[in-house]
Amino acid sequence: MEVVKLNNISRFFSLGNSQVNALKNVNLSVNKGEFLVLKGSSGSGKSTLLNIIGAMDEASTGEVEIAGKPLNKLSDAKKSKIRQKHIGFIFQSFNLLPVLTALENVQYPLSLQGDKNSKNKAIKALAQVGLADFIHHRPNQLSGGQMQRVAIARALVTQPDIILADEPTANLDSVTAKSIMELMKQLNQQGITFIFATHHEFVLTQASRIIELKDGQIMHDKQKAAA
Amino acid sequence: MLFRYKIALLNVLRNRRRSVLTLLAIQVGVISLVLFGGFVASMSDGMRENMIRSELGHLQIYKKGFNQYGHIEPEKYLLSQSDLTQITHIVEAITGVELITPRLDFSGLLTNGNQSIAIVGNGINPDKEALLSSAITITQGEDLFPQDSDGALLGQGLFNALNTKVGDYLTLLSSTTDGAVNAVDIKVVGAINTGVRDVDNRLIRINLPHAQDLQFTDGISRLVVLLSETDNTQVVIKQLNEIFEKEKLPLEIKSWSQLADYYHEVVKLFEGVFGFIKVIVLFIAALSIANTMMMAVMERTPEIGSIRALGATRYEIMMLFLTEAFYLGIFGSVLGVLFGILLANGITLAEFIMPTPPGSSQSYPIRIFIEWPVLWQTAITGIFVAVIASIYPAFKASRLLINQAMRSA
Repeated sequence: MEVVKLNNISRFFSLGNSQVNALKNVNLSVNKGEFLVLKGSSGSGKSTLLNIIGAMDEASTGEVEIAGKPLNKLSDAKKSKIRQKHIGFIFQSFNLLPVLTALENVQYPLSLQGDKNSKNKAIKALAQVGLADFIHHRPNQLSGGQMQRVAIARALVTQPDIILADEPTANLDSVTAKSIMELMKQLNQQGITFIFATHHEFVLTQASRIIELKDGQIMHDKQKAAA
Repeated sequence: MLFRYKIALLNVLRNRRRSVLTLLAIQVGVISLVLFGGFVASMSDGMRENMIRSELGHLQIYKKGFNQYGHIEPEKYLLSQSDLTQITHIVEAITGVELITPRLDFSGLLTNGNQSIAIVGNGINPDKEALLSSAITITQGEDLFPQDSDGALLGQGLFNALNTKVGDYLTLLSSTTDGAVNAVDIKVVGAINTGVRDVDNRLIRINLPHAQDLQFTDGISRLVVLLSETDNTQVVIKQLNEIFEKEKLPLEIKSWSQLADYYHEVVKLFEGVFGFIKVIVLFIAALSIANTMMMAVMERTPEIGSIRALGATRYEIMMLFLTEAFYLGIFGSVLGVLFGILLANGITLAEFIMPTPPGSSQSYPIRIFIEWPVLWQTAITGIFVAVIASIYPAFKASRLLINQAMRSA
């Protein structure tokens, strides 16, 4: 089952009088349960592609479908609903809300959906990432690895179709990065689709599929047997 | 939904310096409006009570047609002694009436032999008038008493203009009710200050029998009624009108408000000035609030991007910032009202003397009223301005592009 379908998408940015082509005629199809890594040098278009898949940016041309829903002509409010229900995000800088506890950070996306059982679901998600004892800690009371675990719990608590992770291990030491990757791999084995943008070698070894981008174009699309 | 209120509250508490700046802007606005509103209310109240208790009473009763035709045929529109007795009996039976007193109006010339000045005069019952005219002050000599059969009180301006002294005799010339000319001698017993300079320049008060002799009548122009509460005026007028109608008495009643054109003009002027100052104060407060809210949006741009990425709509972002503004508005307004009350009481207790206002003949200490309508209206205005001033920053926040907002970390 396809959870992401990109049909000939391009993304142009205007930079003064010139135009920068961040993505050029990209076609991509991602199936449920994939552990896909986007690799490429800085400026290759990884983040732009993730943003478009995550309904946070719009393709200049081409068509985007997430979980069978076309994004192209959707209003901003409807795109927000797509992000709420179908997409989870894990960011390089964790991006937790500093005023909320770990539990509240995980509850927040559920509260946007009006979920009345958000507390129990959030506690369960935090337990799933090994933070059952830290639910009342604020982000500034957690280590980098713990913050990223909270971010993972926040991403998976809504049971999305895809989790997008932009350099999720870049701000972590190698030991913590490895444990975070192992956690995500475990979640992937439970059926959650992951799409990463990363340089991290360990992540590449875990990927079921690696797509290499260069100058906004897919250079290689390599399917691997599960690691 | 609950999370929005919680996040907004925590954000208010998070950046204390910014929140304090916003609260200060709201508080200064609210305090200014509480003080100025209370000052205007005290000025209006003081002026109203001064007019009621120096000249007008709360209501006046005339023979029907007196105000329209009384100046043409005065003898036809005077109340007789029997009217006086009957009306006094009716009015004194009404709850809330403090007193009722007759007056006979006249105009004419007052002369000291060298100089004549046009005057307006009242024949009064000095005992009752002393109670009614509590706002009138004796500036020289003493008050008028019933036994001063030819005694007269002169307005301070008139007293000065005639260069007279207490005990001097002057001649009062007036036309009688049937149009003839008559003159009586009066003895100056004192000078009075009504608080209104124009009145003080022309007023003379003499005993009612003396005025009736001058006018060749035993009638009176009007009955002036003083109530214990100004707020009861309309209720008492309604009751009296019903009784007069029932008794088939051809009478008309005017309230102090109908007789106090000058008061209404001044109140209108005060309200205009207050409105103008209100707009300026609120505009300055709104600018300050908008500025600090804009700073908040800039500081939290990456956070806004994250919240949007998690699925928050633009509306949710707007509501988040407007809820923060609402909290700031509530805190700022409540604190502003409390400080406003403290300052108002402090200023009133300090009894700073105001310069004599134009048209007035008295200085008085600043009083600032604590009026509930002013307080709650100002508090609501403070909250409203805080929210309105935050609409643009909140709108800007809601329109941030998610990927750009997150990159600005």
